[in-house]
Amino acid sequence: MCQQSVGLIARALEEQGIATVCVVMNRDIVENVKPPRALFVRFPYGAPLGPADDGVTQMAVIRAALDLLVSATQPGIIVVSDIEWSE
Amino acid sequence: MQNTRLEAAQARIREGWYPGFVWVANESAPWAPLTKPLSETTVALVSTCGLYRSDVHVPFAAWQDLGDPSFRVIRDDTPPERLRIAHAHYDHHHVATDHEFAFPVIHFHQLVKDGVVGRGYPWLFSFMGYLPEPRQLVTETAPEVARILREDGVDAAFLTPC
Repeated sequence: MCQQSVGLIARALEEQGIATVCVVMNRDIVENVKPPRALFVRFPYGAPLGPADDGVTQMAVIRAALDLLVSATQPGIIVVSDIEWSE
Repeated sequence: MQNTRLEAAQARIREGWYPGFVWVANESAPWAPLTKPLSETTVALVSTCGLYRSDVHVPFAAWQDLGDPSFRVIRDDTPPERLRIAHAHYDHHHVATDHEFAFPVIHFHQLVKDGVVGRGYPWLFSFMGYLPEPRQLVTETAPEVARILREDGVDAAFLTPC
């Protein structure tokens, strides 16, 4: 349900002119709620950026999300990340 | 249109937590493209992982059936030991071990230092994402955060759920 809430917050920010990108772990929910830009990561709930204390993976996810923030041209886009859980 | 996985999850949530639960379905998404290079952009961090400051905040009402649509504002230099999680619906292991999950402050400071991002907004906006009836989030609290960010010159937001 966190995934839905984060999408709703992103929509509210975007409606007031703030560009948003969400990192999400459930594609079904996000396809329904439609935040403006979402990076789908195959990580468990509670770990949107990868394993704890794995700064390399966390930064890779952040950079991928920021790339999407800059490059997206279509509202509602969901990009599937190929970054893998490294544990 | 919901698929069978969402329908099953909806049924579980109705049975276990809130009988009136329905997934929100939108036909389209709003759109505010970045109007400047990322290297000149002020980025705010927003999370629904339920973090709050134990010394100044009332915790989120994490066990309430209808959730808690309020938000907490946390300065980005708050010592990690003053942060707690009030969220009853996910495994806290990762966030409790490493708050960078919810609010990747150190990583964003590095990105600013490297010239990738223009500026990190120094206030973190924290929600508790268990909200089976999100009307107040949509009509009141999320738009209030948007107004604060807009009035403070924030261009973009990076959001993480848990």
